[in-house]
Amino acid sequence: MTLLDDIKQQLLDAEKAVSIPQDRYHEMARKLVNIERQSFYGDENDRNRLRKIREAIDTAVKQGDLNEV
Amino acid sequence: MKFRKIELKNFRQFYGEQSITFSTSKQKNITLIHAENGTGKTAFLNAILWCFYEICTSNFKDPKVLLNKIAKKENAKSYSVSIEFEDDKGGVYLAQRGFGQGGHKFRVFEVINDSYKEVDKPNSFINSVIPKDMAKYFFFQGEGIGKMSGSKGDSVVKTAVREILGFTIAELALKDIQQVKREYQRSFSNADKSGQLSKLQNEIISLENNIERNKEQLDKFAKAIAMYNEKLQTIEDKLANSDSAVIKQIHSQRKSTESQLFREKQLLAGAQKEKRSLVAEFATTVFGFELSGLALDFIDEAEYKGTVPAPYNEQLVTDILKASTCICGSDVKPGTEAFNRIQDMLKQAADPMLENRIRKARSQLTSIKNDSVKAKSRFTNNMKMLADSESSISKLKNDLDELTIKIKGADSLDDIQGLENERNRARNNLIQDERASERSKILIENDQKNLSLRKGELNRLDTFSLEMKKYKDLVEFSEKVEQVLKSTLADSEKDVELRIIEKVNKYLEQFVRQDYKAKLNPTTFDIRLVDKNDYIVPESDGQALLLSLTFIASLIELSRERKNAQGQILTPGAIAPFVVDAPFGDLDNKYKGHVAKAIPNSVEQVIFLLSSSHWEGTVEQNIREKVGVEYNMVLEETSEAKSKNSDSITILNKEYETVRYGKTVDRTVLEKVGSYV
Repeated sequence: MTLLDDIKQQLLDAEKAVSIPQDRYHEMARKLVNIERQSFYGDENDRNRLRKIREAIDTAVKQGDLNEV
Repeated sequence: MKFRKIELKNFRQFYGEQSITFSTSKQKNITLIHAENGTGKTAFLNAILWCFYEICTSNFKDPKVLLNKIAKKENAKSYSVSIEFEDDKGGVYLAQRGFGQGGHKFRVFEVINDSYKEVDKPNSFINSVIPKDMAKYFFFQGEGIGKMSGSKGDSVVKTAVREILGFTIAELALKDIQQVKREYQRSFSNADKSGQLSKLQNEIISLENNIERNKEQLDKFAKAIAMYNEKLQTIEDKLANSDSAVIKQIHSQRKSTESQLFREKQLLAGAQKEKRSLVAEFATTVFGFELSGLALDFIDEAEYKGTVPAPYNEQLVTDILKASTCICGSDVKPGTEAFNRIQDMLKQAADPMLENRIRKARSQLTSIKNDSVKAKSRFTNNMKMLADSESSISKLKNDLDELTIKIKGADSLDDIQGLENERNRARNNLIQDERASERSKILIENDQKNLSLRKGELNRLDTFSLEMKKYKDLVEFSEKVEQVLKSTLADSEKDVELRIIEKVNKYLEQFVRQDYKAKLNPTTFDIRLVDKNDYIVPESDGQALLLSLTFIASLIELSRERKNAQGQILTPGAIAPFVVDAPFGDLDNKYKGHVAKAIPNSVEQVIFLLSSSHWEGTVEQNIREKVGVEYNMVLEETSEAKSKNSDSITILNKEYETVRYGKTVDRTVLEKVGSYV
C-alpha cells in the first residue's frame, strides 16, 4: 500500500465513523437528514419539512427529560 | 448501475416511439451516438435527466415544451421517457416518467422475470441510485461546461466537490436546524415576562448572527487574498520572463530588494517585540534606580555604619550588663574595668533580627543597582537595532520605488507598464484585504468571548418559568445537533483537496502525458493548469475543457469510492453511466485521442454523443475497439432537398445519411449503424 492509499483508506474510515450515530444528537442529525432527503428528492411535501423537524426535536427533548426523571 | 434501454415517446424532436439499447458489455463499454448539430443530442441528454429527476440542463431551450410539435398538431396529449437499468447487484428496474390525460406520472418498477413490481417512493429510490445533486456530473454537457479556474471557477469546483461528497442534504439540514433554533430562542425571549433574561437571550442571538456574518466575511477575504497573491505571482512570472534584458535585470534586482525588505521587517518586528519584553522585565529596575541609590546611602551612613555585619549580639551584651554577671559566671559590677569594656562592646553590637532585615534590604537594593547597569546596556542595544532596521527599511523602500519607476519608465514597453499598474493595484488590494481579514478575526474572537460569557450568565440564572425552561432545553438541544452537522461536514471536507488534485493529475497524465499538471489553491478551490516549468498556462477554451473533463472524471471516481459510505448524514456516492454530450469540442487535436481513450477506461459504461467533427480521425482510432453499439441520429425533414447538399457520415467505410429530405414529418430518428446492425 502506498502512502496515498493509506491516507485514502483513513479518510474513508473517518467518513464512515463520522456517519455512525454516537449519541442522541447524532441520532437527531441523522433523522433531520432523512426528513430533508424526503423533501429534497420529492417524495414528501416540502412545506411539511420544518414542522417535522420541530416535532422530532420536541419529542427528543421530552424523551430526554423523561429519562432524566 | 448501467443503462440497458431508453424509450422516447413524442419527446421533443423524437416523434413517435424511438429507442436505444445500450451496450452493457464490460470490454466494449461504449455506446456511441452520432448526431450532427441540431438533431437532438442535447434533447437526448435532457430526456435522461427529465425521466429521473424532472430537471433539464441550463442550455436546453423551452424546457416546459416537451411534447413533440407534430404530435401536438395531431392532437396527441402524451409524451414519455422510459429507462431500463440494472443495479450493481444485477437487479433490473424500469423508470417511467410521462405526461398524459391523467397528468404527470413518475413510476419505477422492479423487473423480475418479465413481471413488473412497482417500487414505493420512486423519487427516493431513484435518488438512492444516483442522487439528483450528483447527476449533472454523470450526465454531462460538454459544450456548456463552466470553467474550473478564474473568477467563477472556485465556486464551481467547491460546489462540485461538496455535492459529490454528499453534502447537499446535510447542508440543508444545517440551515433548517439553525432556523428552528432561532425560533426557539425568540420563543424563549417572548416567554420572559420580566424582560431580564430576554435581554440576555437577544444579546446571544445578536452575537451569534455577528459571528456567522463575520465568518462569511473572513472566508471572502481569505479567497480574495489567495486570488491577489496568485495574480501577483503571475505578474512576477511575466516580468521575470520578459523579452527585455533590462526589465529582467531590474525585476531581479527588485525581487532581491523585496526579500531584503522582508527580512528587515522581520528584524524590526523582533526588535519591537524585545523592546516590549525589556519594558516588562526592567520596569521596576528603571523606576527603582534612583530610590535604590538613596536607600543604600542611607543604610551605609546611618547608625548602622560599622555595626552591620555586627561582631556582637546586642541582646546578649545588654543581658550581661543588666545581670552584672558574665556568661563565665564572674561578677561584672558597674564601674569595674570589665564592666566598662563590656559596655564599650555595645557600640559595635546589633539586634540579629534587624541585622538580617538590613542584609536582605541591602542585597535587594544592590541587585536593583546592578540590574540598572544591565538594563541600560540592553536598552541601548535594542534602540540601536530598532534605529538600524528602521533606517534600512526606509532605504530599501526608496530603492524599491526607484526600481519600480525604472520598470514603469521603460521605453516602448506598454505591456510592462500595464503589468506594473496591475501589480500595484493587486498589492494595494491585497494589503487592504489582509487588514480587513485581521479586523474580522478580532471581531469574531471578541464576539466569541462575549457569547461564552453571556451563555454562562444565562445558565447561572435560575429564575426560569416552566415555559422558559422548555425553550431553553430546545435551544440547547438544537445547538448540539447543529454542532454535529457542522463537525461532520468540516471533518469530511478536510484534506479533500489532496484527494481531488491527486485524481485530476492522474487523469491529466493519461490525457496529455507530461505536458501539464493541475494545481489547486486550497483556499479558493481554484484549479489551474501549469506547464512543465510550473508556470500557469493561459487558459483557452480547449484548456478549460481539458481541465473540466479531468475534473469530472475525478469526481466520478470519488463518487465511486464513496458508493459504500454509510450515508447516515452524508449522501453516499454512486456508480453510474457517464453520458457525455460533445466532450471533445474545443480540445486540441493532439489531446482528443488520448482523452477519448482514457474515459472508457475510467468508468463502467460510457455513452458518447458525438458530431462528425468530434468523431472522425483520432477519436475513432482510439475508441473503435471499445465501442459496443453504435447509433445514428438522422434528421428527417418534409422540405425537398432541391439544391441542398446531402449530408452523411462514414462509419467503418460505409456511408450513412445524417439528413433526409422530402419525408412525411419533421423529426429525428434513431438508427443502429456500423457493424452492430
